[in-house]
Amino acid sequence: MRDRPYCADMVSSDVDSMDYSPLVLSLWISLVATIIIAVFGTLTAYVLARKRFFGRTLLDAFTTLPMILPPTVTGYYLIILLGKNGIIGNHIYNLTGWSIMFTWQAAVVAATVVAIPIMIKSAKAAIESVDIEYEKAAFTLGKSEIQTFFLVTLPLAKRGLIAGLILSFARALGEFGATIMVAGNIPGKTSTMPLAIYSAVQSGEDQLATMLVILLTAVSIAIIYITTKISKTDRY
Amino acid sequence: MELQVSICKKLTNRTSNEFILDAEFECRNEMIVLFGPSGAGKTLTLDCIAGLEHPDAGCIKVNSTVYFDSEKNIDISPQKRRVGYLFQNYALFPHLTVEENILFGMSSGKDSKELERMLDIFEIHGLEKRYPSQLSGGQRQRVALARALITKPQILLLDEPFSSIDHITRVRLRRDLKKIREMIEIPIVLITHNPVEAYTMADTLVVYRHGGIEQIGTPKEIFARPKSRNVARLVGMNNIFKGKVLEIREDGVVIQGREKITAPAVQDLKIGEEVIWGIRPDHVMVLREDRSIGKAVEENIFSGRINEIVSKGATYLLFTEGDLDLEIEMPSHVFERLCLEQGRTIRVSLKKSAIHIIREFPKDRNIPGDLL
Repeated sequence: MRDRPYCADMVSSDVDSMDYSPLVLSLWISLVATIIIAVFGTLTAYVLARKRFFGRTLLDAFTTLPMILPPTVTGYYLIILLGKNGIIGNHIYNLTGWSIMFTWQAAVVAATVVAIPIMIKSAKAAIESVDIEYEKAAFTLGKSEIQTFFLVTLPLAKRGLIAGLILSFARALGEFGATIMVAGNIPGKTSTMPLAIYSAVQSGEDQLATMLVILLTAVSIAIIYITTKISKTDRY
Repeated sequence: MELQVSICKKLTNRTSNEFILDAEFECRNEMIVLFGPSGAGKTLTLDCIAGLEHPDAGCIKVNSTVYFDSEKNIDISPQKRRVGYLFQNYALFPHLTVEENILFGMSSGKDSKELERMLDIFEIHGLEKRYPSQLSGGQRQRVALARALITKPQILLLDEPFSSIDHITRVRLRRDLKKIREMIEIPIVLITHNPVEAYTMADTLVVYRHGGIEQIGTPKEIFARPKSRNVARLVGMNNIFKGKVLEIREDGVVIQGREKITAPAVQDLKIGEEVIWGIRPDHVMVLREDRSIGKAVEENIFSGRINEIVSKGATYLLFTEGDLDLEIEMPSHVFERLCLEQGRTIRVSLKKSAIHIIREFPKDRNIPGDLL
């Protein structure tokens, strides 16, 4: 295959029999990771933005760390934590006989850990930009902190939160380094788009690589298009 | 007393500037006005009453409910205090409509009858479906008042309601507040730094200085008899002089400063004591040269040259230099009749009864220099 110019192969019969599992897997893993990020990222951001406590700066730095560290380093730490003999993983293995390593769940963990700092950063900025006076007003009107969070803070920080989620989703979709460390590259199981592209290039399947790249680019553009549409529908 | 406040709170910020608020006052179901320069701790006092800030020590009581008591370890949450709070920028929720804003504090959901009543009182019918960004400043303020009052609060707190609104809205707000006072019997605490609003609105006036209270009393009392130079400046008693008691007579005291003046008698004054005396600019009388001086004003006559004339619309301000450097305020029609102009020398009379002696004790507590 190599000796022919690969552009000519683009519309060959291989395309019909293409394996879409990397795309489905990637979207699924990124979606699950984004849901986890939405909950814990927003919560952490709220605590960092509104609470004053001992160790706040430390928590802030710690949650930023995966953004600075090379993903393989993050992946290595995850192995130490979650591996069969890992700090947490060994207890799970002893209790259930199951290890998260080299499963799609491990890919979710990797994507979550690598992408959550982006959400925390933008959600924190979004929550800080909500005038605290609104929350105080809600308190004097009898609303508890949790009610105030859902009725006032969340709607007012909405734009920033959505932006943070989009970026996190995109980051999760592109996750490579940490994923290959903890989830491997098992076709149909943990081989997400970036990993499949890497494998395709490695094994000289240029046609497949090109198709996967185009697909991933199209998905990314579609996400950006849809989300800009959504965030334009504010009434006030 | 329906409202009792006695609090102490220390604030430290990063620039190591320490701010200590130490405030104590009480009032009935009336309008109490906290008046003073910005940064004095007035809003902090309101936040403490509302439960948004926590005093280090002290006690806050509203209608026999203890909101805060450091000794008994009581600190009711803001949610349970039932305080109506009008924030300085109103803090209307921008993502909710007027109706949703007003009903926000109602636990029972939509109460159409109460909503209608509020819309009636504040004349904001037809705005229910609008968002705060689609309202004028005055409308926003009335919506915020409706939102605060619909929950039937125990006390109403108003943070600078008169600032940043135009004149017509201000007149209307004065009317609305009067209406509220007739409607509900609760203490109303209002913050202002405008002496005119302080004078016209207050039943009790609490004058703040940096971190504490300088004087409490009726507006009339405070404007005529400020206790310190600080208060005198705040209420517009701009002519302030130093002097020594020279003579004590039955009908008054003679004070020697740059000039000799006669002031009303004050108890326990000693000869030789250093005092400060002052007179409001509008109490200085300019004498007409074509008429003889009446008996009542024959004391304390000084002359001076007009240095500057400032028109304030309804009144004129004259600044003179001479025996005493004075600020004089007079109605425009008087100014025009007297044909005054810059550079002319005029004679003025400081009516004895208008002179106020301030007996300030030398232990001036940390008052910033620019207020003196």
